[in-house]
Parts: sequence; C-alpha cells; structure tokens
Amino acid sequence: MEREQIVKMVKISKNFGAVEALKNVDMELYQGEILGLLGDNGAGKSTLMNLLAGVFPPTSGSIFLKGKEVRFNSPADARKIGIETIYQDLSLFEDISIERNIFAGGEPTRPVLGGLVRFLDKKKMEIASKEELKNLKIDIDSTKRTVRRLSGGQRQTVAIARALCFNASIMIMDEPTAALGIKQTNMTHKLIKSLREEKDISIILVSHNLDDIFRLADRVVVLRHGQKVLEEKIKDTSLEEIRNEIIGVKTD
Amino acid sequence: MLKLKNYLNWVLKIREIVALITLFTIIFICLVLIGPIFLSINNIANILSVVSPIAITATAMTLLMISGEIDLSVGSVMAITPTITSLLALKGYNIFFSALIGIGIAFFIGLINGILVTKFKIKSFIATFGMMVIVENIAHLLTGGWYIYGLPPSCTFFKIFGGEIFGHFPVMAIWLLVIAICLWLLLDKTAFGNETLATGGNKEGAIKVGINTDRVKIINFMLTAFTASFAGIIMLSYIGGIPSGIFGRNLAFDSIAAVVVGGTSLSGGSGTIIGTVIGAFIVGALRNATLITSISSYWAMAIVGLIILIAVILNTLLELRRN
Amino acid sequence: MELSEKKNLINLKVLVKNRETVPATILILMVIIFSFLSGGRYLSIFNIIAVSQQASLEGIVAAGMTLILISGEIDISVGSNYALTPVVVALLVKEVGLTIWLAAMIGMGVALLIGFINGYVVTKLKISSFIVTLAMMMFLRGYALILTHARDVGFLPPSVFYQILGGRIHTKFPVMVIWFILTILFLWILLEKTPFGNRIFATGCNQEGARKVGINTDKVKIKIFMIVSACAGFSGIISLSYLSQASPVQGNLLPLYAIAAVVIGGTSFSGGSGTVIGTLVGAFIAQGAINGVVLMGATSYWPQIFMGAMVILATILTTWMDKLRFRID
Repeated sequence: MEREQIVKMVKISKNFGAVEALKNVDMELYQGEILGLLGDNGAGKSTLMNLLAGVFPPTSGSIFLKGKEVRFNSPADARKIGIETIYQDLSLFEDISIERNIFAGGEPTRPVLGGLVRFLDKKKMEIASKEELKNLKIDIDSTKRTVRRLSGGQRQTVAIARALCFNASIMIMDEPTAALGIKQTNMTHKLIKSLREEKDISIILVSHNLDDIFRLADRVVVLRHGQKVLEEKIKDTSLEEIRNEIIGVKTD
Repeated sequence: MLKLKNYLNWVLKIREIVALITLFTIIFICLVLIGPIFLSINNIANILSVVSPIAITATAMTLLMISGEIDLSVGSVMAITPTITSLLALKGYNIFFSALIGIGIAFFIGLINGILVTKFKIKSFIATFGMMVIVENIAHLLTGGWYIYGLPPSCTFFKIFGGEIFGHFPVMAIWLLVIAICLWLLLDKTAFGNETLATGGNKEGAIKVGINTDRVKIINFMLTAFTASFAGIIMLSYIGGIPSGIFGRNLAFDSIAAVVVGGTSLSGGSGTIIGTVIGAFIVGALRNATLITSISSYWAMAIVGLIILIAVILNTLLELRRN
Repeated sequence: MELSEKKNLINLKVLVKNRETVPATILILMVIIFSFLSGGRYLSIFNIIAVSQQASLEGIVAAGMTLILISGEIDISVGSNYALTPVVVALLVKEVGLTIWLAAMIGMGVALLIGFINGYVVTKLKISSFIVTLAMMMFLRGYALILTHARDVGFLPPSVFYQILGGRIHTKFPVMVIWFILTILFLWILLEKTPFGNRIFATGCNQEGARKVGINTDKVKIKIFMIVSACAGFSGIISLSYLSQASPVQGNLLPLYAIAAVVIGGTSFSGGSGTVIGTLVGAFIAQGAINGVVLMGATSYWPQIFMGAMVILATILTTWMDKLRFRID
C-alpha cells in the first residue's frame, strides 16, 4: 500500500549562534505512519521537532506540507494547519480548568452584542473536551476541575485530547512514556496505535526509549551531531544497528 | 585589529564593566556640568558620607538578592535602630548598650522577614513591603514625629562611627571598607557564600544536595537588616541626632539600585560585592550632584530612574552574551 | 451520611472553592465589628461616602493590578502615573488652552503609552518588571515634579466634566463608585469570558507552556501593562475632577494600597489565578479598615501599621486557602 507523503523537510539547517544544531537534514513523513525520531542528547531531534512545531524558523531549507511550502512564524501557525505537538512537559496550566487547558491558544468563541464582542464558547469547549476525553477512555467527572489534581497518565490524556480537539492530522510526541510506569506505558502504546488506526493520524515519535520505537514505529530516522545517519523501515534494521548509529560506532 | 578584538572580549568579560563605565560616565558628566569642585577633597568627603550607608546596606543586600530574595524594609530598619538607640541613651542608658539593643531589634526584624518568606512562603516583595510600612510607622510613633536631639555631640561613640579624620575624611568610609571586605570574603571564600549562590541559582537543586535553603535565606535577611541598622547608627553618629521625616526613606531604592547596576541579576544566582560598591558610588555621586547644584532633586529622581534602566539593560545584554 | 449532612458539606465546599468567599466574609465581619466599636458612626452616610470614594479611586487601579499579578508581573509605577496624568491634563487645559475632553484623551494616551513602554521593556528586553516599573516610577514622579515645579496645579473642572467623573448623584452618591464598579465588571468579563482572559491565566500559570501552544505571551503582557496604566490614568483624571487640583506628589502609596486590595481580595501573588470581584471587596476592606481604625481615635501612624499587618496576614490567609482548596478539589 503506497502511502501519501504529507510532510517533506528538505535540506533543513538550524544554527544557534555558532552552534550548528542541524545540518542539511532531509525528512519525510507519510500518511498514517508512525515515524520514530531517534538520537542521543544534543543530536538535534528536539530542534527538528521544534522546527516542525513552529517554535522557530529554520536557518535554511524548506518544509512542505502535502506539496505546498509552509513557513511558520509561531506555533499558532503550525497548529492552524493541523500539526499538534505534545511536549514532554505537556504544556498544561495547573490552576485553570481542563477545558480551558485544552483550548488554550485556540479558544472557540461566540459573538455577543451582535458581533461587537466575542466571548468564549464555553458550551462548545465543554462538549468537545468531554467527547474527546471519553473517546480516550478516561474517566473525569467534570471538565471544570483544574488540572492540578490529575495523575501523570491523566495529564497526558488531557494533552492528547487537546491535540484531537484541534483535529490534528499530524502529531509530534516528545518522549511520551518518559515519566510513566510500565502499566501506563502499555496503555499509552495502545493509545498511540489507536490514534493511527482509528483516526489515520500521522505521528512522529521522538523518543530515547528503543522499546517504544520497536513496538510502535513503522520507520526510524536517526540523527547524530545534527545530521541524518540512518533512515530505515523498522523491519529492515536491528536494535544493534540503531544503537550503533546513535552512538556512532562503526560496524561492518 | 585582532588584538583589539581580543582585548575587547576580555574587557567585556569583567562582570563589573557596565558599572565601571557608568561610574566614569557619571563622574565625567558631573565634572562637565558642575566643574572641578565636584572632585574637590571636601566634596569627595561629602560623596563618601552619602555613599557609605548605601553601600554598607547594599553589600548585604547583594547576598540576599543572590539567594533570590529582596528586602524593601531596609529603610525602616535604618530609621528604627538609631531611634531606639537615642531614645534609650536620652533616658540615661549607656550609649553602646543602647546601640546594641537597637541593632538587636534589627536582627529580630530580619528574622521575622526571613520566617515570613521561608516558613510562611510569602513572596519577599510583599513580606518586606508590609514590614517596611509597619516598622517605619512604629519608628514615627516612637519619635512622635519630632526630630531627636540632645545627645552629646562629641562623645566617643559618635567619634568611632560618625567622626572625621584628616580634616573631613569620614570614618564611615573605613567601616564601609571593613564590611565590604568581610562580606566579600563571606561570599567568595566560605561555604555559606557557596550555598547562597546555589540557593539562588537553583533552589530545588540546592535542597537536593543537602543545602538548608531556608537557613541560608534567613541568615541573609538578618545580615541585611544588620547592615541597615549599622548604617543607621553611622548616620546617627555623623549627624548627631535624627532629623525628622525622611530618614532612610530612600535607602531601599538606593541600595537595590546599587546592587542591580553593579551587575547582580535580580533573579539571583550570581553577583559581586565589588560591582555593588561601584553601583553605590554611582547612586551616591548622583545624589550628591543634585544636592550641590541648583538642579532640583526631581531631576535626580528622573535621571536615576533612567540610568538604572539603562544599566540593567546593558547588564542583561551582557549576561545573555556571556551564556 | 444523611442527605442533609451531605448537602451541608457540599455547600461548604462551594464556599471554600470560591475565591471571593473569604474576603466577603472579612468585609462583613469588619463592618459589624467597627460599627459596634464606633457606636454606629462607622455606618454614617458621611463615612460610607468617604470610604467609598477612597476605595473607588484606589480600586480602579487595583482592578488593573489584579490582571498584572495574575500574569505573574508587577507594576509599581501606577502611583506616579496617577499623579502625572492629571498633571498633564490640567496643564494642557490651563497652559495650552485645550478643551478638557481633548486634554483628557491626550492624558489617557500618555497613560497608555507608559503602559506600552513598561510592557515592551519587560517582554522584549526581558528585564524584571519590578526593576522596570521601579525605574519608571522614579522617572515619572521626577517628571511630574519638574512639570509643576513641585506645586499643586489648581484646576476648576467644567461642570459636565465634574458631574460625570467626580460628582454626586442626588448630592449623596459618588459617581466614581459607579466607574469603579464598571471597571471591575469590564475586567471581570475580560478575564472570565474572553479568549484573551484565558490566555492571561495561561501565561501566568506557565509562560513557556503558553508559548508552546501558540499564545503570544509578549502581546498578552504588553496589553495588560497598558490596561493597568490606563486604570491608573483614568483614576488620576477622576481625582482631578474631584479634588479640583492635580498634585505631583499624590499617589505615593498607591502601589501599596492597590496591591493590598488585590491580595486581601484573595488573588495569589504567585500568578496563574485570581479574581477581580475579590479585588472589589478587597479595596473596600483596605479602605474600610483604615477608616475604622482612624475613627476609633488612632493617630495617623497606626492605620498604616494596621495596613502593613493586614497585607501580610491576607497573603498568609490566601496561601493557606489555596492549600485547602487543593486538598478539597
């Protein structure tokens, strides 16, 4: 089955002052696949992820979405075209309600006073967040509660619900299982698989955890010192090969 | 050309460079606007008398701000210690004893500040703001709003703290040197100084390596209160009494300005005593300049505010560049 | 558990959850205690009017300050702004000959500019708001003193101007109280009902996180600084109309009173959450307490001591209530 190419990053370089974080990296993402992005600390995977998320622009190179070139001036631009990023720290806000958390940065509004002013559409917020949380099979009695009291796993579900409420077609997940226990990791794996199967979302999985990658990813890209050193279908490579490429040990 | 660039890079690495340049600029401007009288022996002595209380307080404030807190109550402490001291002395108590009581009260105020911030978890800005209002008004209550006079002007006590030698050279400058050196040693050479830097740089990390950050902060609050009270004793000795009203009113602002202009970051974690002392000279020179000219002190306020802003911006930029 | 007992517990939960409950309770208790202690003088029409006027002038600024604190910043230049804006307006009318309305609009423009500068320097130059607004406070105060040569500027407000801003309805009810309530209402709607308000909370809770979800936190903060400056300027213009003069030294303690009102009203100093309704109550508590203490014969220093202690206690209480709320949630 030939998958459509939806993201194409061409000759991407990113410098921070004198530091070359990324050098001429090419990367593609295909519809409905789970792509593993691997690399040691400082290899550039966070930078690449941030570029796609719209946090900063590349120093050189282009990003194409479904064949059209895109430039992001802020994360809001990336989110507008369906790229949702779930960061390791989840970007949640402790003291405001779950539904406000989910819609922060993209709040739905309704016109008031004949369109003079726009208020938060709280009904929409409540219905949408309840719906997505139910689909993610999490039991939260009220979306008006604050996030503070939620467990790590529940918080992550809220972050994912946020992505779904914005009709993500592409999800970038940054170390999704880093802080989770074994049972929760298992549930997260099931969740990620169902996102792909039921919603046909294309996922970039940034992870240190090779177990995650081998269980979930269709293809992997390995970065080292800002350059792409490996790109393979998961079934065509091995744990040893990947590990060696991450570290940089020559094998024959 | 390369040598010049290297030299420039080396110069920019000096933490206190902004403070130094600002100081020289201010002195230059004052010389131009006021004339060579600005740097006459007499006026330098005057400048020192303004700078010393600010600098003494600011040096301890440096440690406090490095550890991540701030103390707005220093002005009120500077007012209340000499108030209590002179009231007791006028009642007949030995003046050294009275001063000890006055300074003891200051330690107590510092302790309260420290406890409010660490145990009650109140932000230091609010806690010391509240304490400033309370202590300042208690001082006013004690004096009934009148100035205090009637203490023997040439007693030994006054000579030790507020006297003059070699004509007009104020002894308090020597006290400033002593305290600055002591606090520099404390910050740079002792474990406590290291703990202060760690607490301000990364409080959670400091706790995890076993530093008692609460204790560090409380001690710094008490040190700051002590120096403020010491500055108050010095001013009392220098003036020979307590002028009503505005005693110590500007101290909080001036000492914080000195610390910040001197290069200590407001978010804590780094700073130098030398920079603070230079900063104190900047603020003191400005206050002196407005005193001896007919330029209204309102201009002084506006200018000092502007200079602080510029110095902080420059320091921040340098900080970013250094990283 | 019996149904009635359960109902009681639920009601208690709601009471605690609401940030405004504590300040409301304090206000009611305070009124009762002071009325009792002053033999009813506390509740005389004259006294209520006096307290309401002070509370309104400071409360308008406190309302804007609430947003600042929620976003995690502070603005101590409001006092100088409160002095400078009416000075500018009065001088524009007296020396330049502009009509009061034009002068007032320019004055508000100046206030907004001050807020913009504050916000810009804090966000783009990344300097602590304490330092920036401290410097601005000094600068504005100096400038006001320079403009007026340190003298109060006498000013006869045209009758309409006076009626609308500083006057009374039926010779009793001060109009400025209406402006205070309107300001609170406006900011409440802004905070609770609009996306902008949501973004204020988000920025205060977790600035990095807010940026990552696409919120322009710099823009949010700049707008907030402009709002609080506008409040300070507006309040200053009302005071001009009411006092018939612009004094370059007024508003010295305004930052303290404004922050006191916000903190007593239940907004936490650490940002991320807060309530303008609470600030409304807090402003009345702050002024009412000082007034009560003075009525009881305390000399001019005790009320301020009381105020300082009240701010500290209110902060402790608010922190404690937050912890309680967390446990109950």
